[in-house]
Amino acid sequence: MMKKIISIFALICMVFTLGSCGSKGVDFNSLKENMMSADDSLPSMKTVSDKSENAETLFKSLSDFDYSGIESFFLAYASDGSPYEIAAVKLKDAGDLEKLETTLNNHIGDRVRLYKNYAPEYAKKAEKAIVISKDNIAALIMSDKSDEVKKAFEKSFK
Amino acid sequence: MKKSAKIITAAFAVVLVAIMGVSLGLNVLTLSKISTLESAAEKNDPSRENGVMIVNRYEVKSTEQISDAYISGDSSGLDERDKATLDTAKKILKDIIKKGMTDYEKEVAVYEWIQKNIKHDNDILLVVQDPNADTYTPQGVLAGKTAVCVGYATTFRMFMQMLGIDCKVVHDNDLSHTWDLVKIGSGWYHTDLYFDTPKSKFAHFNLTDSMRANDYSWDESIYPRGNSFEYCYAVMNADNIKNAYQIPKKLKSMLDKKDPFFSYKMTDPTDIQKSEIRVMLDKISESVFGAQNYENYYFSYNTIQNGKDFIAYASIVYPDPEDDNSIIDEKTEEKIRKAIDKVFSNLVENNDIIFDEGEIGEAATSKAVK
Repeated sequence: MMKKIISIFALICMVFTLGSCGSKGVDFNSLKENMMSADDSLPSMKTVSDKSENAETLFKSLSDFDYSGIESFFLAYASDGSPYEIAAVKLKDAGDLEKLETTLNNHIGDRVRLYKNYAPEYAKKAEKAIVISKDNIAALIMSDKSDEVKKAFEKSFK
Repeated sequence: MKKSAKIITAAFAVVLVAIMGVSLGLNVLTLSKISTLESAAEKNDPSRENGVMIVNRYEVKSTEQISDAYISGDSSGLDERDKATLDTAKKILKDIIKKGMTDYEKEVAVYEWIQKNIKHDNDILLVVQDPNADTYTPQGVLAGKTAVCVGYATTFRMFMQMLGIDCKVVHDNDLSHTWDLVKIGSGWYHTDLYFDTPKSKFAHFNLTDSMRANDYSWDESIYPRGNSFEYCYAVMNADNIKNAYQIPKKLKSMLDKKDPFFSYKMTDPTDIQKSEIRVMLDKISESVFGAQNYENYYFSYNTIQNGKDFIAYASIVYPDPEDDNSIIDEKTEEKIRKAIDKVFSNLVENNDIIFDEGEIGEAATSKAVK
């Protein structure tokens, strides 16, 4: 009986261990490089990340998700204010992914509203931005080559 | 048996205490989250004039401490930054406000000073902004001479309040833009300096509620109503026309002079005459501003009824000279061609070049070179 209990417990532990591997296998730096290099038409971009000084404050420019739940992030944005952004956020808890996605979609909405007021010619491009996710990572893509960047994101998990 | 009953009871008690503890902890956590949410909501309560965040970045802040100090002559309660702002604002008002000016004339003087001296802060479009840049308070705007919409609106309001003229900063329902609502005489008028700077002078100056509502919606319950035409710029400065057919010639003359705003008035027109004016403006928008010569111009128009007067008003935003090649006359174009020919005299025409859709501009340039 005891053996059976131990076997079941061991099996459960193994399933959880394997299941939790997920995107922990994804190198976040490679993910960033893959996504950024997928669009060769991007203008001059500035990048901030969890390694930047004041990372928590900088993160607020992208999302109002509680920063204590963030494992790492990067945000690349056009240095001339045009509608080009590529960002990815890795969560400590994959269970919060939907909440994170909502904040990224809110960010797109804010950008569209800003462009409609101050640079209407950019608004349509910003409206085409997408949010995608896998495991505990969500990404925002505002680019002329969204499909290529999306493919690069997905490929990084294989 | 008694012993095992005791053990079970003790275990049950421990479990019960643990559940109560967890429950208490969760309640405390929930209360703390509610309190945080309440304080965040209070900070961005859109039902008030000050304390709201525009585009999640720029807080509309009161500057009554500065205008009160100007009026009372007592600046002892101000901090150093506010004192410096007061000093700068005092000097500006001394230069532009003359004795005997009416409130309307004072409003125009301040509007013109801001339009001439404060430039747009183009960083508004950046995703991440310089945390030290202050282009949204009069303190920062007068020091740096650049502003976002909140900076224009709060600086104009500060000057108006210093001059004893009632003025409020209005925010739209999307919390994406601000402008001013100023009281001249007995009426309130909308003025948007951000959109009139640098080249659309008076296009958004002293508008009524209905005129402003063409572009924005706002919570009318927290602001006074602006229904008076008395100091409405489009009404005050309307040229008389006899019929719609005078508009094209007047518009052409306006374009030649690069005037940014026009307003035409017809007294007691018939319904057909009103329709003719509306259709004329529609057609001008389609055919003139849809044409290549004026494709970079931004034309907007509307009509209002003031008593017996039917008024058509419009504004034109002219392209930056650096983007507008039509300002080069034929003589200059010939001079450019000759300068190129002089150096590249051995060019052989190539008819095989095929340009894809994205290179139309290059194709046009290539033809000009030939």
